Amino acid sequence: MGSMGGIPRKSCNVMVVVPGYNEGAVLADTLSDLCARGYSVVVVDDGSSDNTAQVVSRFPVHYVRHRINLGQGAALETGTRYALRNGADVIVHFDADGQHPAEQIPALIRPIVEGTADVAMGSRFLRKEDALRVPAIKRAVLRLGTVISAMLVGVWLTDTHNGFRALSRRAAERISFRENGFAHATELLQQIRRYKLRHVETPCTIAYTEYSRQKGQSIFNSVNIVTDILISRLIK
Amino acid sequence: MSLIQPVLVVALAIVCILFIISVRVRAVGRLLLLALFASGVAFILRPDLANSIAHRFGVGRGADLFLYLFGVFAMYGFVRIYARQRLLERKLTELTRSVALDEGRRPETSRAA
Repeated sequence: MGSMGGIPRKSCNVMVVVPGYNEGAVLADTLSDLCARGYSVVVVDDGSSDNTAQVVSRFPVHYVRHRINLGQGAALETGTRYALRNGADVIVHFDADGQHPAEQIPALIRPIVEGTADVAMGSRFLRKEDALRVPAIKRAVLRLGTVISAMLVGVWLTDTHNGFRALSRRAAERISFRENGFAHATELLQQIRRYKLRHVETPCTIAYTEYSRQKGQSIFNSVNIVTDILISRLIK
Repeated sequence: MSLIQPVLVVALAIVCILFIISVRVRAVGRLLLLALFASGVAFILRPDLANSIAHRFGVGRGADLFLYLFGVFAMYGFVRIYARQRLLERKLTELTRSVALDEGRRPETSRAA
């Protein structure tokens, strides 16, 4: 495996962080896809009580486990720290549930590998065909989310709560998620602004499977996210 | 003396004793608690005392003044507990993370890591 989509592997150490909480049922598909493409993967088991550990043991991947469930933001932070310790140059955040497209990782990380960006974020709204795949209600909520985060944080994006993203080593060393839950996505934007990191959005296709629809964030959760961010702004 | 007065005094005494037994309080704290207890007893036995203080603050009844003060202290306590909970959550996260990182397992058939 000499190159992936034209990117020389030797020059750049990519590590994919896959956080999961009781995602054992779908993790195998996600991991076999990533491993088949030759990625170095770290699974962060966020205190799962299912067969996650057993599934992971079948794959040549790194495995860290939170003894207790802390939340997605905390799991991503742990995975990112792990990747930094293991010498990663580029860190990719990737959902365990198969929503994120492994074949689009090369396109996502390209700006970072080429040194034109520190943070690359997947967006469902850069291409019309991707946007149309998002269920209509969810599309409206996400649109509202972009407006709210622009007002709160001052970073304009087309898609805010898309977990498919890549960080350069430089960015990962600066960014730290203190919000353990889902508010970390907004927190990321705050830190991009604070540390003046160069960010870019890359088009990505999200697969809305029946599984992800059931497991994904309820749109009501966006209220919680906004509340978390507001409280954290007040407390700081 | 109305029936409620001895009931309140006994209840207050029990709470104070429990507090001293269960929480390690230093001498200053004990004196403070004793003062609090004494003033509590005074307000229970002489309701007109609370009333006259309330009047000075432009509040109709002593009971109302106590309700307002209770509200303020309860909110203060709530904020303190919330801040403390956030702090504990952060410490717990750090602890869990450091254990997870220390126990991290590398792939057995090591590919490019």
